[in-house]
Amino acid sequence: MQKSSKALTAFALLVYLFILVPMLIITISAFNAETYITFPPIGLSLRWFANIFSVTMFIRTFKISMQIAVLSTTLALVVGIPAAYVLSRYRFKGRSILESYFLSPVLIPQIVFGFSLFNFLIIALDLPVFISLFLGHTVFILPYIVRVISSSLANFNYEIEEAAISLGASRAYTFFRVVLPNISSGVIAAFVLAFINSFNNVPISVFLTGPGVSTLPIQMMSYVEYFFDPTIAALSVVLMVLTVIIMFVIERTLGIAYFTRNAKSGGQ
Amino acid sequence: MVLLKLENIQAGYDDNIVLDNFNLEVQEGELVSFLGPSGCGKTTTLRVIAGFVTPDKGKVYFSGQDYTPLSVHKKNFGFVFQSYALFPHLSVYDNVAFGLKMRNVNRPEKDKRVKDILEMVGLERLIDRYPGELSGGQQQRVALARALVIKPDLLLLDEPLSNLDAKLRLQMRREIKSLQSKLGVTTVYVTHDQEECFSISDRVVIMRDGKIEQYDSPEKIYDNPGTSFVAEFVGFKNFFDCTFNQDNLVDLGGVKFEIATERIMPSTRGEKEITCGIRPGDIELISKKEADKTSKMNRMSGEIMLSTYLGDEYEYVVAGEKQEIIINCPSDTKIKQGEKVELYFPPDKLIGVK
Repeated sequence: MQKSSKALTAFALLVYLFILVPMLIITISAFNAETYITFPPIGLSLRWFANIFSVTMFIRTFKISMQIAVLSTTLALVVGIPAAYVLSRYRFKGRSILESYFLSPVLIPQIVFGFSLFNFLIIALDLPVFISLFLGHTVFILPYIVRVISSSLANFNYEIEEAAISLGASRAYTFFRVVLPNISSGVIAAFVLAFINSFNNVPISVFLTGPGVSTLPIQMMSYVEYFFDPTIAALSVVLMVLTVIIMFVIERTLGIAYFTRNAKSGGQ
Repeated sequence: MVLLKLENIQAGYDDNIVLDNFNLEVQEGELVSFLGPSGCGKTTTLRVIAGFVTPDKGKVYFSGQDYTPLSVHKKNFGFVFQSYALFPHLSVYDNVAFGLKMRNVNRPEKDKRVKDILEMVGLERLIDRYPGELSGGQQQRVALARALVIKPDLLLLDEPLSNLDAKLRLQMRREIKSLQSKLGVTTVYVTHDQEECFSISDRVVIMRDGKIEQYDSPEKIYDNPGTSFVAEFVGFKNFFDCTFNQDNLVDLGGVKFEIATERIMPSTRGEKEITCGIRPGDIELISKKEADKTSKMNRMSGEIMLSTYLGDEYEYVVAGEKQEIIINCPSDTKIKQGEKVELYFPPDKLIGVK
């Protein structure tokens, strides 16, 4: 028992190292004083962090990426929550087809999906770049939302909904005041997952970006094609820190309260 | 006065028809129970009454009005679910106050009614707790309080005690009965537990395959079960296939049995082949001395095959002339396995059913 747990610890440590070492290398090389990425770094400097803000395209595309992520995640939630609810609550014709559509985000290669969206949104419909990005990302993250909310609804006892209705609540009131509060941790999880997926996306964005409108990941890629200085490493560090802060805030404000409440109601 | 009336109801799920041509009347103030095995349609009937299931055909009347097209949230019915279905995100107070909030009851009155009903179910101290922090019995009380606080026109309970342990079940059923009679609310109660059902009901509906087998007071059903299905539910364990000889004489493969006329149920009318039943405790053992004195009627001999100890009695499985018979005898004497016995079936204890 002791032996195997030691081996397991060692293995787990290796896995962690494998995941963390690249990030560690990026973080260290972000403080490099030289004009190219080296490891171990030569000298110590914060100039590349300052340089992020001197590249105006980074600031502009960061704003666009945030806008796209917030807007498309919001729209996907507005569409996805009712869709997940109907799929889990009712039995109807074509349900399994809809379900397999919503639950298969990984089946179509994203590059293919991006190309089809490009043909449809930009070529056929001739939509502006920003709108195309917004709609494209919404469609792409919708399955994630439906999947996460569905699994949250799978644990929801629909007799609770019937109880509210029997006490005089309308269907709409019941949905917003009884069903939604009980799947709120699922909604938050879905929001975070969809937001990160949208913010990180390259294969779809690469087709939908156009003159003047680009997303941060695309901008970072094209920067790396022309410059080999550690600015990208510094930007990566900033993004990692931002993610950690967001996760920490969610955990502190919503996370703990929701998890304890769910643990309580799970005990009944 | 008839408060609730189901008329020619047909209902089911998808292609599966559970109730067909179902009729029922419930008087005001009554506690009526539906008793039957799982799948007999008792819960479906309750859901039709509540409005969760819309019948394909037929009508539901409530105090003379057609309630069939009325949506659930417009009826003033209280429903208690098997899973209690408390709102996990609301405190005990908010759970109970939910129905009052929907009725726009003002704050002071809401507070008072919630406190009163929680006092009645003995939970006033737990008013700020959340459902996840309560025991099963406490959750059950909250569910009951939540359904009663709206002063429902009708209280519907779907197997409310089946998730509780045996001791708590006894206590809760007494409390439900006393609350129900104190508030005078007409109640429909679904259960599969015969004892629970008989102990609290004014009248019992025994259901089988979506049909009513018998609808009567518990006492009448216990004494005079109308069919062999009902008889089985109320403790009859021995059944014999017989043919009618005369009015109250039946023939069981050569053995003649007399049955008291009032114990031959109307369901046998016009039938030649009937079923005779008797409870294990109603069969008498005849000692060798008496055996020759009494008549040969209503008697059968057999051999003890198996004995089980039930505390205050023994239960014996007897190999009879035609079939196995189960008898219960007081535990002061034990009969050995393999011993021959003579059994007597009193005419007023036998029943004749279809």
